[in-house]
Amino acid sequence: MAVDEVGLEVSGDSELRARRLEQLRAMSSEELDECIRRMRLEQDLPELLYHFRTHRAEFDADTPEAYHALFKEHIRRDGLIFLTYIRPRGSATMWHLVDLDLGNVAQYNETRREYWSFFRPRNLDSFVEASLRRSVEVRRATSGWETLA
Amino acid sequence: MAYIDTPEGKLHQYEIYVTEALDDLDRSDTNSLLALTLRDDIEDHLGDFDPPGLGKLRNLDSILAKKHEIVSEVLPNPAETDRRRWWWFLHEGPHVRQERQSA
Repeated sequence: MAVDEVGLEVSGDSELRARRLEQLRAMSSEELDECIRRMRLEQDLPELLYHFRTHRAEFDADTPEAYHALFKEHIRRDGLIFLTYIRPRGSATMWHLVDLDLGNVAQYNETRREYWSFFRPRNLDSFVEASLRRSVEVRRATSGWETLA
Repeated sequence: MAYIDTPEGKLHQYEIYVTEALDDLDRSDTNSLLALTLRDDIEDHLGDFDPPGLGKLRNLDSILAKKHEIVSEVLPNPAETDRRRWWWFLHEGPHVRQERQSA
């Protein structure tokens, strides 16, 4: 374990990725299913006004309500990609729910069991590519979920 | 055309990232990636910016460089090898920006 310039303990991407993969493999398919089901049923985006102010231009959303409606629509969409990782800073377990068609991403903090952000990266491919360096992709398979290392 | 597709919209969003979102240490990893990928997009369309816009960009770049420790959370990124895009090398320190300007 290294210590970064602001004094926080950090681990390398590969170490954190391996740790997350190990956690996922220790979970039953039912546990993983429940975790993803919980994320997709959630309605609330805490600190909505803060996220709206930060990301409104990415969506061209005029009101917090319009931004929240896009968020709720997003997390129920079919075909989302699920990426999960451990944050180097603070070690929280996070998820990115990515819609490759519309380019939207919801971020879920599994440790806190709440949504953490909702945004639209300017370059989704770059964003996902960079995220994949530290994430594990979880994908629906014929029987349950599979993890892609 | 959406606001974010305009030079003003891109600068507006870049300003939010570098002056506010990067300071949110609960989300700084994701916000760093958003800032760096938007900075790529701005660079790809630099010809669209007028002199005042370029001046504002220089100021915002200075702020980004000062926050090099924060964005280092998502760096290095082995996929980025073009050192003209100095923002992907800020884990080496803020000097990478000056080096690029003098090159």
